[in-house]
Amino acid sequence: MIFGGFPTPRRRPTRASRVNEEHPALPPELEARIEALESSASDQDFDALGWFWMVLFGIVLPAALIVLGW
Amino acid sequence: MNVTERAAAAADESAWPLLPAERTWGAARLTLTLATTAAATWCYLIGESVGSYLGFMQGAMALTAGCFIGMLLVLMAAGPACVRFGIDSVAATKPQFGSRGWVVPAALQAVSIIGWNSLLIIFFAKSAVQLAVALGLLAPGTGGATLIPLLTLFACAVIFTALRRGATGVSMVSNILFVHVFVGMWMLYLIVTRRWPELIAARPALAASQHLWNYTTGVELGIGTTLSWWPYIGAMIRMVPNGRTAVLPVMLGMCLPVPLLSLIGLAGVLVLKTSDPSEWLRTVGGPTYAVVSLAFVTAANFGTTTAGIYASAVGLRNFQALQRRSWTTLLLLTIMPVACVGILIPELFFAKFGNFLALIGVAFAPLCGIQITDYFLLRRRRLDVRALYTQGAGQPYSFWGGVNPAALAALAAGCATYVLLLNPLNLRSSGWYPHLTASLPAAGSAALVYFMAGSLVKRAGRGGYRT
Repeated sequence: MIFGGFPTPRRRPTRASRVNEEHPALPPELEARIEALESSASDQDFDALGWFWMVLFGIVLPAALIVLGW
Repeated sequence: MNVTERAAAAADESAWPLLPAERTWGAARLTLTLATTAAATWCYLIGESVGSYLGFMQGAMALTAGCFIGMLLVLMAAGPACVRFGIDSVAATKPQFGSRGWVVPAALQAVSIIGWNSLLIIFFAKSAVQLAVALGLLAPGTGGATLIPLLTLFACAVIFTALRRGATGVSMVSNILFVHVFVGMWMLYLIVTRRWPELIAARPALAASQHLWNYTTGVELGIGTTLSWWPYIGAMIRMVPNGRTAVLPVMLGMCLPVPLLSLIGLAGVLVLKTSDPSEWLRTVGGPTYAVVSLAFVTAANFGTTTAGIYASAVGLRNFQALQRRSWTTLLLLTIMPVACVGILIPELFFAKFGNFLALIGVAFAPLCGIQITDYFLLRRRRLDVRALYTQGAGQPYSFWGGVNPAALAALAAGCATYVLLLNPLNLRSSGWYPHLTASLPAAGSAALVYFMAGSLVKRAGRGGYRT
């Protein structure tokens, strides 16, 4: 076990080990992290609500402030 | 500390991706940390710059608008990769600059953070000396030359001790120092309520004859200010579990304190002809207020420097030679230049290095343009996390010899565009600057060049792009 909970890379052919045929070997801790991230269901950057806030504060509010200030 | 906690602590001291279970910060903790990071002495200087060209209300509107625009660019550029994979800002540039070319943004980050931190730590030492004078512990004009290097060393030692705990140390310092943001708001309240008629009537000293130029410069100063958060942001937002949790803390916690606290400098320079609150608070409220202000400045710079040293140390981890070094070694490597500058050449650095930092800051707008174009247009939000850590011929992000020429060309084009439109050292402008700002065209031209050159790279089958 590495990092108290991450399994060491398994022997059976996983996506990671298949990819490793093309990639050089990585440190085992890093390998375990990457494998966990690759198999993670969550692969999203910002969701709809996040984009809403970004558009509101990054575009709408500045535009309004520029118009108001001018 | 159990094994899992030790693992999490070790993870936030590396440049390796953090797993969702290790990203334990919530929105409140991130907001607190980002706000403490953002609030520093530079806010007065920004306010002073804006107050040279615009009155209070217009300056406040233009600066706030610019800050939010710049923050959006930074979040869209570094944010997606950082929140998806729990990596820092430098690691997030590997898909664009290549498995070796990322040293270019890494160098920008290191110079920017170390440079700014040196300035802030000198500010910290100077404020502490002034505080000692104001409290009657030191006679005016004595001991400064000796005390400033000693205080710099002391501050570096405290930061080093706090950061031995990794990101937890940054959060701990933020928890203690967060109150200074409210002290800043109180100072703003004081000057606004006591000098409102003068504030509204005040005319900026260096206003140009073209009002549009003044207004655009206010917006540009805001954009440039928050773009300079690019080196810091990744190391912080990677501590939260997803993008949604990061957005509001970044847009409000990191962005909003900057224009708000800059209003202190803006109001000060308009009404009392000085942006330094420790000077004008003495005028407004006597020596007690000056002491409070100096304590504020001291705390503010300390918090920002702690976060900066942490972000810079994590950035260094991306160098293969430093991946196996201890966290203590990395901290020392990051703090040593800051300490040396503060101890050996504080006055010289204070006088000259600001110009160099202004030039370095020009690069962050093009960098954002490149990252946004690559992630959203060329890669269509697909990144290979494994490829971020592999080098050598044939690897997805190796391009040609580990360097993507498209990114370098785009960075050069963006920087050239900026400098052609606005000289950051003397604010002399040309062409369309009053209509466009300088940062936005710089980001836009870098994005355009990157899109065109990157499309050729994609067609050549390099860079791990999916066709």
